[in-house]
Amino acid sequence: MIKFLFWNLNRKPLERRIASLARHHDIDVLMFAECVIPVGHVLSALSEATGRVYHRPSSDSDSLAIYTRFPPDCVVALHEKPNRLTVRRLVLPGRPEVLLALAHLPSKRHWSPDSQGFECVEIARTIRELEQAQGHSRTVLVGDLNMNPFEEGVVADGGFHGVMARPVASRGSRVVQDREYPFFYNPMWAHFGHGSDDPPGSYYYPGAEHVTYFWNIYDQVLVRPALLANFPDDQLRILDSDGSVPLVASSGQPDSSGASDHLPITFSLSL
Amino acid sequence: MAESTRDLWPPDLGVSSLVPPLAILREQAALLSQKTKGFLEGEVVTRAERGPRNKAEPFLHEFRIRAPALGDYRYELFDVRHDFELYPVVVRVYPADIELEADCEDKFLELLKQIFSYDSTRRVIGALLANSGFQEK
Repeated sequence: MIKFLFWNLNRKPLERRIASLARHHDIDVLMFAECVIPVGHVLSALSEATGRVYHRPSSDSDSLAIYTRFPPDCVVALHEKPNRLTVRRLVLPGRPEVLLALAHLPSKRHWSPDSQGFECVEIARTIRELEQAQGHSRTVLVGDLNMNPFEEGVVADGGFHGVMARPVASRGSRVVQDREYPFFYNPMWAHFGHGSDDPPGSYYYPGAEHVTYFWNIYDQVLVRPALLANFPDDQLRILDSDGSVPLVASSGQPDSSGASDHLPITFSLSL
Repeated sequence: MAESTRDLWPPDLGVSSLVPPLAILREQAALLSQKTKGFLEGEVVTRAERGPRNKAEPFLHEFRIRAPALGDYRYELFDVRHDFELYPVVVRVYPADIELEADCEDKFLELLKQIFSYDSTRRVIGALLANSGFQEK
């Protein structure tokens, strides 16, 4: 089982919290958005906390960062749009190759929902082209999408085409107007509200307007149907603690002063 | 009725028990990463070009040190060339541009040990680690 963690760090020096998360959850691949912590600080903290060596694979991105226990040549860059999208081949000996697409989409503060949706179309196209070139679609898309799972860019066929139900995703694709669009399975739908012990979302924003959701799930993982059997739903969690110290304030909302305004998500792949 | 396949290949295909230079280099690259806790990554970049009529251009393995904390700065320490035959190997060491040769695996291992112990190599590694903020604990 390979364990992954994604966290938008909100440009905070959270290396100790990261190290604690890595230790408590035994994380193999750590992925961050808005990471401005010097690489050396992250490596030192991880090494001290876990007693193991983590690597920072070669990258053109500063703030979109990957650290891994696997040798860096197991996480091969395939496509990079610095600080917005990096697609990696995860090549582990004796295991099927996986494409790992790590994304940080523009914020709602700066982009309209329409523009966000069109960006999803572009990223989805890039991913499809890379899948075609690699000859498989064992793809994981993870990151801060700055959109909820129900928004058009995430749901639309030309966007990520993320669906909430495994049986629908397992059909593989659907044809609309003679064009075929592959699905992603989006397990984040099940994590809204208090259906589990986890927080009701990954990002809290009480907008002063007529419609506000308060809790949002901008931080998401989506998997292609080819990986459905490898993706255990019960391993997907939104975390409210780094294992020692809470990541939320007494209100239950993300502790943006001591940690980040986003909560991390963790998931596993059995390969 | 299908004809039986006539196997003209010898039972022993001549599989070598020698450890290829590339495997040795990758092992040493991984060790550098372990010893420096990921502050420095050894990288081996291989090029192999086939000339006309299988006249082999030498395999070329470049051994580099990458410093992730220094914006992926890379320093090429040496390169290793060999033919289809794994040995002998010719090693060109930078920046002095010295060429050394090893005609077997044992001598290649000895030669690598020597290169890693050079003052110039240790100075490069020390400087990269210091600039990366590495502290031994």
